[in-house]
Amino acid sequence: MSGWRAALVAAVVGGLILGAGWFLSGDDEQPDDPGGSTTTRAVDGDLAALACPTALEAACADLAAFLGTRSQRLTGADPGDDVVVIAPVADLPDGRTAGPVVARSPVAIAVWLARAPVLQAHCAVDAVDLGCLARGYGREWGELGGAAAWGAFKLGLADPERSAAGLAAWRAVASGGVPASLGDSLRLRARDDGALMVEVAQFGDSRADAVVTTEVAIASQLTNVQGRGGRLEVSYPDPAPWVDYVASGEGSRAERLIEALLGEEVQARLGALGLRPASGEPTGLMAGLGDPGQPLGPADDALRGTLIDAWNEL
Amino acid sequence: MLATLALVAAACGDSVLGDSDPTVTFDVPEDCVEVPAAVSSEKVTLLTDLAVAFNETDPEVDGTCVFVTIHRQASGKATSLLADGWPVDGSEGPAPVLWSPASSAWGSVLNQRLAVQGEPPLAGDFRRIMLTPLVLAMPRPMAEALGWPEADIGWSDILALAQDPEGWGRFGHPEWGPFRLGKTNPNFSTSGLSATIAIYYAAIGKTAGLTLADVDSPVAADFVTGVEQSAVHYGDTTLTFLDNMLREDLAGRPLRYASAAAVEEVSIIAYNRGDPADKGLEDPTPPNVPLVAVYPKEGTLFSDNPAYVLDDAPWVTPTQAAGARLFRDFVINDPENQARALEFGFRPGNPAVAIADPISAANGLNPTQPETELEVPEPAVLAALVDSWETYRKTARVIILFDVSGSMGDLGGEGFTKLDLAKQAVLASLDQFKPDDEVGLWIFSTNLNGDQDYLELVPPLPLRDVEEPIRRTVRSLIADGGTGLYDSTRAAVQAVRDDFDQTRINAVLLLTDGMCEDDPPGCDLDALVRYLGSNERDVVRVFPVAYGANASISELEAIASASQARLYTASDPLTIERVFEQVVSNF
Repeated sequence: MSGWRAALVAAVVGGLILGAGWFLSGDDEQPDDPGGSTTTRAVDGDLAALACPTALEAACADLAAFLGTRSQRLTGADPGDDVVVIAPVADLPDGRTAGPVVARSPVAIAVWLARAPVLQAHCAVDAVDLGCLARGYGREWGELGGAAAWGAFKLGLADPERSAAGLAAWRAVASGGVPASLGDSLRLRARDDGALMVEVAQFGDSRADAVVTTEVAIASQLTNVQGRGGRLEVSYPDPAPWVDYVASGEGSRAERLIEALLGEEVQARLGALGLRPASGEPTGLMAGLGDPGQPLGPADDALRGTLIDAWNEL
Repeated sequence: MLATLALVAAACGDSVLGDSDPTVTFDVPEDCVEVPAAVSSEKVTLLTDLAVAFNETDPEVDGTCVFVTIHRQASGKATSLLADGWPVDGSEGPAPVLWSPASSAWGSVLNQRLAVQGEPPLAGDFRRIMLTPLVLAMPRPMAEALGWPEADIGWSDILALAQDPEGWGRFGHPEWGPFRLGKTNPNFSTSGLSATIAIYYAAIGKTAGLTLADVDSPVAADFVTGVEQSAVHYGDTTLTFLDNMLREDLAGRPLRYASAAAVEEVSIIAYNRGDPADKGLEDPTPPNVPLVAVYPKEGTLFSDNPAYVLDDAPWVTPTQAAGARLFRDFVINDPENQARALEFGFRPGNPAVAIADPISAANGLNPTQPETELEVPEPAVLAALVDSWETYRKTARVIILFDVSGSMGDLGGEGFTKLDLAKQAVLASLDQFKPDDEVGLWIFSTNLNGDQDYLELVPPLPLRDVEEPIRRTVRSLIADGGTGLYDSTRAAVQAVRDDFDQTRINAVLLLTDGMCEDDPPGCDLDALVRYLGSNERDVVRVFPVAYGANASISELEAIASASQARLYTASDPLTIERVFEQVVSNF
């Protein structure tokens, strides 16, 4: 193992594990309103608009409708003064000040339902974990007990240099080391977690057998993939990096919106949208999601640099 | 290197419809900013409809009206125009703000070319309008003979079948003859390029990371050569194969022309509807034997129809770029608009729109396939792959039958006679052949040799041996006499038949600007057609080029159809070089 690889593994595996238990997953019961259809206005007064990255686009559209405002996709450029941006701190447009954390998402693993049992059997585990994924690196499905026509085992990840979500997922994957065979299997590299899952939905299992990314990004396509060739099974690495989403906006309209986002009604709504509330304790969770692993502490600059180096050497 | 240059300079999308195919005209309101979109041909109709609907919403960017116009532009050609600098004279349509080629591979090629020129990339992040995978379209009975739909079928099975002296007898159907593959030229067609990539991957046993060493390996050479030997001919568009298959089917010979064709999945839907060109025919006649899709077990590629907003192009203003994004979002975000893509047989780019009919088993398709996507090779590997394909492709035996009747001396344009322009086209086209191709040169008018209307000037021999004589002879041609079309065509076909070579594409390339003026017994088209179709096994294909405004399209179409080839038209003589290039892409 090269120097940086050893340092990487040590840093990632040895990363701080935050106090366990506080985030424990809620049940699978759906809230009264599963989200996506209600347009009840929950807040008095004019609100700023919402801008969210692709992975949160559907969730933000629901929240905006619920609160009586509008939402838009965050493209990277600052969307303007009267818009509250929800994004990881590192992904905020230049000049934006981070506000409070309004939602969170753990890193999760998604495998096509038809292929997950093959991996589980090969690894003798109940749920696909990172170690089991690693056993597929550089291998053909025929070798893993699957159909030869499935071809090579294919992994999808978002670029850690371009998004906080990509970095979090890469941190999880790299925690087990970065063998050269990982590069062989890394067939899908997307700009960010939202783009990653769009490609998974568009191309199905022909482009990626498994992805490691934010739970909310997976959730954003869980329904869509069912109309496009299959279902995804979700499992969680343990420990798991989490991505915190902050709200950023100035002015009274923005402040009212952020306050509403932190309010009980909205926070209770997040689970059904595939997000975890700021407290980490969802009151209702989208079907198909489960209990995440122990949360890792934030990555410092040194770890980030090591991770990016490892990515670029793939 | 020839292939590399051709790939980036001359490649076209599929569904090239010829020079008479119009692009819809948009009238841009005076107070609006135009947002031109250059799109590949397969989605012109869809995007034109959607642009009209979008424009009717009175879209604005910061209070400025924007108006989207759609312009047909083949993927490879647009790539070259963007790399070389879009002509400001409007000859290729307005410089685009939105660009949607057939595949994002073209965006990579563009950026690679710009990088080589020391320029920044133009094709950045994109969104996919719709998708369609490359498949092997097979007549249903033939696919079933291979075990479809249960069996995994791939290029290795095609190779085994193609190399089996028993042909379809291997599967209990000797009456079907040898396996025949329809596959377009990768220098001209996205489908041809995708199929060629897939064959190389299948040869090596990889699904990603094809290397230069892989491309140069003996294993690849044997595999590719073996598959290509089954090619009926090549060409610039998959439509040629689909048209011919449908015509043969409707004539009661559904399994004669080709056993399989490498086409996009969407093409099967159009074919099975009886409208291969997807012209929206009011009363199409569906084939008696439908095509079904074989998704190669070794993997395949998608045409992913990306939509790029060319923010960094010097001609694009921020208002135009914003307008292009509005239109792109309109096309992709609105489920109703994405459902239109489905109507056209494409898989919607918006994941929220489920894949449904017509992408269904009823149409011989499988929406859960393909199971493995192949990686587009790096540009340098891609270029090497196409170069090597030129070596391994099926060789040709072609007689160029050149009309030198008096009317060829008429002015064709820009001060040149039609003969001058045709000579230039023939001379330029010789570069597209490979040294092993056997090429001959005949001319025809009337009474060139006694009563004989034709004359063999250079017999068909390997081009390496006859290129200079052909060039010298072409330069010396003069125009005189009438158009002894039918007897000359028949004689040229007979000459190729006499020395028919099963290992080659046997063909006649017929260039003429007139209609038949044979001496008595005269012009009997039916007799010629019967003759051309009289040999089912050793088919000599006649690719006519209808040159100038007076060529008899109907006569030449009949000749092309009877010989299971394709008619090309160059009604404007100034286009002859481009058209000739397309014709020679069949070899």
